[in-house]
Amino acid sequence: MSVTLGQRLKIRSMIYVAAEPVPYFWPMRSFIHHNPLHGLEKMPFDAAVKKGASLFHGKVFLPRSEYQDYLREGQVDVSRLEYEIGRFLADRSAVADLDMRQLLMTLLTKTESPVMLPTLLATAADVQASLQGKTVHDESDRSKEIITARLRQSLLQQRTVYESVDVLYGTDIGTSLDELVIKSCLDFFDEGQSVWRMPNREQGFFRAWREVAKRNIRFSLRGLHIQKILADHETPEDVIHHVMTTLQVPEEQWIGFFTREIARLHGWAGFIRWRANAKHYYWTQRFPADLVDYMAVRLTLALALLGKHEHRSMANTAESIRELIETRPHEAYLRHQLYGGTVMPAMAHRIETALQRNHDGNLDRVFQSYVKQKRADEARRQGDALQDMLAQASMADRLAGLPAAEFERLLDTLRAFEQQEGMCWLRAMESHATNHLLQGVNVVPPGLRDKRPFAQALFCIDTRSERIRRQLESIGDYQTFGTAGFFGVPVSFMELGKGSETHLCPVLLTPKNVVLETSVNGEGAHALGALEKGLHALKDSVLTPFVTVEAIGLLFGFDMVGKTVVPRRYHQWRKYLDKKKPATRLLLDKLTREQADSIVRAVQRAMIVKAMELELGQETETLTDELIRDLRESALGHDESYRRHAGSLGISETDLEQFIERLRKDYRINLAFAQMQLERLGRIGFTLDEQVHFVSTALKSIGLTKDYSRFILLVGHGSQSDNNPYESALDCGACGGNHGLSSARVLAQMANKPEVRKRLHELGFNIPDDSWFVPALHNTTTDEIAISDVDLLPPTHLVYLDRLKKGLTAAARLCSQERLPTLYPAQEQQEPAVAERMMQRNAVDWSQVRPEWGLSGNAYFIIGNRELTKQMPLYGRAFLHSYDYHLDKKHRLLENILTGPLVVGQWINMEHYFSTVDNERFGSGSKVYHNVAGRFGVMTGNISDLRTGLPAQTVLGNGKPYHQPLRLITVIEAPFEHAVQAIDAVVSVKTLVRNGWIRMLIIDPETRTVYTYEDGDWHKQPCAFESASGYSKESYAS
Amino acid sequence: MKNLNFSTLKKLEIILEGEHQAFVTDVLDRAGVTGYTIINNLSGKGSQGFHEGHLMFNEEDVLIMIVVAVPEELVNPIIEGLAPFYSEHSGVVFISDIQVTRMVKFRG
Repeated sequence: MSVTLGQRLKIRSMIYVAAEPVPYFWPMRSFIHHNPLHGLEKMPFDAAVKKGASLFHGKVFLPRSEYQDYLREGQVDVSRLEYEIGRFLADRSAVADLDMRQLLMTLLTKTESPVMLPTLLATAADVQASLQGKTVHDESDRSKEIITARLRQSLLQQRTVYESVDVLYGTDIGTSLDELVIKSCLDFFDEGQSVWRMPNREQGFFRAWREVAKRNIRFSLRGLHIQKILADHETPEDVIHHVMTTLQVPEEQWIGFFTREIARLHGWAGFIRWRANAKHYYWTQRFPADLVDYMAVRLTLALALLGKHEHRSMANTAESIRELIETRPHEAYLRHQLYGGTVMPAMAHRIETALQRNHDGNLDRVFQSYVKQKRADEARRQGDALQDMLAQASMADRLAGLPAAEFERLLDTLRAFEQQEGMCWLRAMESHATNHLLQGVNVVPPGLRDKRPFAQALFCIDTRSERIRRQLESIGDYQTFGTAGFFGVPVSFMELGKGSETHLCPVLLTPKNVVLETSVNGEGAHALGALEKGLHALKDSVLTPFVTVEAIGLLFGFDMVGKTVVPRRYHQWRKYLDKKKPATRLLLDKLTREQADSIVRAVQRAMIVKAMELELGQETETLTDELIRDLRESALGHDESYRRHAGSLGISETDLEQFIERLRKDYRINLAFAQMQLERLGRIGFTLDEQVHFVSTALKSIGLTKDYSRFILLVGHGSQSDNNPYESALDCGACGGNHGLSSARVLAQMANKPEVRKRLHELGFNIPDDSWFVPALHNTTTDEIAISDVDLLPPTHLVYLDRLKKGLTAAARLCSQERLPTLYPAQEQQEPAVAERMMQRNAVDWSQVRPEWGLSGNAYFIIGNRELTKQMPLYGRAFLHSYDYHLDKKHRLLENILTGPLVVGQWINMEHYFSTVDNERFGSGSKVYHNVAGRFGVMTGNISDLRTGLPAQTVLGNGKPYHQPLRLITVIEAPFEHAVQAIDAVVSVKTLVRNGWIRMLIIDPETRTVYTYEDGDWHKQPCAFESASGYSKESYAS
Repeated sequence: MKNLNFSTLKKLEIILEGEHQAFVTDVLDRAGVTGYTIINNLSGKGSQGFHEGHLMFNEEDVLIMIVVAVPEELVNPIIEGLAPFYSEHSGVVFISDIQVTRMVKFRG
């Protein structure tokens, strides 16, 4: 049966939708923090975590005992906990005269593990009877109904066909399948790590795999008959259609089925999903693959594995499993118990024998007796747990005497409470963290300055900047600001010596402008002229990638991008330290039309020379400029002057005509292509208008519009560690997981340009002539701040340079001293200079699994004046974005802060949250067992899912959470209406706030009021920062 | 301009959230469509309320429209293909009859 075009497209569409809950996974070289539940952000937080927990089989809150530890440490707002209990009880009826408030508080604070156990068969009456020492009376028909319903849910909805077969027949198809799929992925997606290269990869994942699989001995040895499945189906959509119909899955269930299939290896699936969407990614262009390919590979193998285990009476399609449940629920249940790992050990043997003999009467007897025992067992264990808990609340004696209806209500209440307990803890911890912040903030506006600061420094919003900024401010007249580390300029950067572009901006953006780094000694100023010299220069020119495209690149025998991508290692940053890089400048102005034309002409000339050599066997030396010009003009269709050269070249006019045609078609010397080349060259650099716009926006966004210092430092950041595939995770998220120096250099070069300054003056930015923008790099592992492009400093500044450097060193040492105890808890307080040396050693120690804590601990995002938290140490827990609402009447600047930096902050925050609450599922486990896979990810051991999220060493210390898992507490300092309008104008942020993925607070400095968004509305709070009061229940009463 | 030959085609105007652009253009490519026009940063009112299209730092948030002219026989497969997508996402597809002169531009 052939599949129609519409059906094929529909399958693609279904898989696209099915995969949306699985977040992208970026290659580790540029680690991007992401929310593991990003695909569920359209749901409210509490509903989304429930769904995420079942989809990814992960935990979404800490265990109760960890929260109890926080409670002991004073990190939980007890009054909020009480409030949450009260709120929960408010719409539930009382249970006899039990003090439920006290009972639930005891449950939260004294009982270590959940009191309500998963029970299927035992009713409240059974539990109560068990407590009273009575036997459970029988009503097995009810049990049969419950069991059938549960089986339908478990086998037809929650599992794929082979997963159901596994729990019914004790096969292990799921594990074998994952292993085979991972091996196939490793073969195909390898980026130069493996010795063996899968052939035909350029045809795409499924097609390349299909060719290999048809002849794969590994598969035949395992008894898998792949050929049979693949023979009649060439496209991945056809195979998917074939397998799904063979498995008899009803079409309306396909999407759910695909989602479960994709979520099994969500790391690999997330990587493939990212890769298919990253059109500029070198390996995507060479070896395309998407989740439709992946699904086809998985389903082919799944069907083959099912076939291998096939035997006469086995239910191995969705339809036959449904039939088994409906007609033989006894057998289905006993099988599910035995092979699903939930069987009561005492009866396992009897069940196994009965299933083997498969005698109906016997099976029924075993079933009846098993159900009875299981039910009694559930009732007993539940009763015991309940008894223990009530004893802790000194209410144990009340239990047995409760009327049946009240007893049942007690159980329901406890179960319902425990299901939403995690949210209570989370809110109470967030409440504590919020109160702590509000008690420390200062809303008194800064006074006027009598002189300008010695230096101003713009740091990234990164939480690590908070420490160094505070220290720098403490040692002298330094004014600091926080802004996204790409300084608001999205740049596609081509580093010296590399043929590929790196996007220096949050991954939410695609930069439109390219900046090239050129060597001062080499091409530099001659970048354009060099091309004129012909082929050789063309190969080396940084401009070449913009005028030649794939086909032409290959023609020249150089694979431009490949050469530079393949050897690119994880340790991007290292060369900045190891190698003395030559001094460089950035090419960031637009080319003029004449320059661009001349580049295109140069390339065309070089192409013609090459073509003459290849097609006509002409030596380069014999070709005159005039000849080349005429051929070029003719190819472009301007004239027919080529004809007069036929004689001198010794070929017929017809041959020459054909040659011109080849030039047009194969060598692409034609007007349309020239236009495209011009478009590509047009991406290079920024116009003067754009530069003025970016500089003025950068300054205005942070409120730096007066008192400009002599030095205005633009401080990017990067980390430094050895032997660390996660290094990029410690770099700048706002720069797409790269270090931030290049972005700082881009803005500095723009801002120091006289033409830009002149235009800024006209716009009212009175930057004095002696103000100089200086790029610098903050090494977050050692705390050092290194100034860049010192050679460009005006001579007048050199006398102050020493003071500046000393200031930066002092701040770095104080910062090291402050951070040291977090890395070495056993260490005594050290002198700043000693701390500095210890941090430096840390950075070059290849056995160090935790070079720094990175962004671990992040909890706050503060948008406002520096004065708001300047006096309050936040110990690297806060993203700080400077903002002055007075300069932003239309709140556009605020909207930009919300859409870009805040969203990136929220991704980082959620990545840390989930990596902490379930490091095995959402994090990547211990670094110690990590192996690099295919050069783009890590696996645990030799074969596993790609590990996403953060390693244990980043968020856990001694097995306990180091990172406190909280949702990002965001503060906007602005008049209430102003802030609300900005939030409402940004749909994505509005959704995040409303759905509780971000805890939003507005501090209105004009009315000195705090507004908190909670339960769908804004709540006014008394000025905690004046009264220093704690959490007040009344404020939530509205 | 003499001998103008008009040919009948269908125009699809596909409105969707910008972050899914690549998915829809991929569907069109696979359907054999030879070209399309993309209009960015739409503003307007729909069932989700008013959409503004001015954001700078997050391109995935905006609405876009893909305009494509196709022969009639491709309309159903494309609509069938997009159906599962539109049951999960906001957006609409307008279908209308149009005439074109240079038919060669629209046949793959």
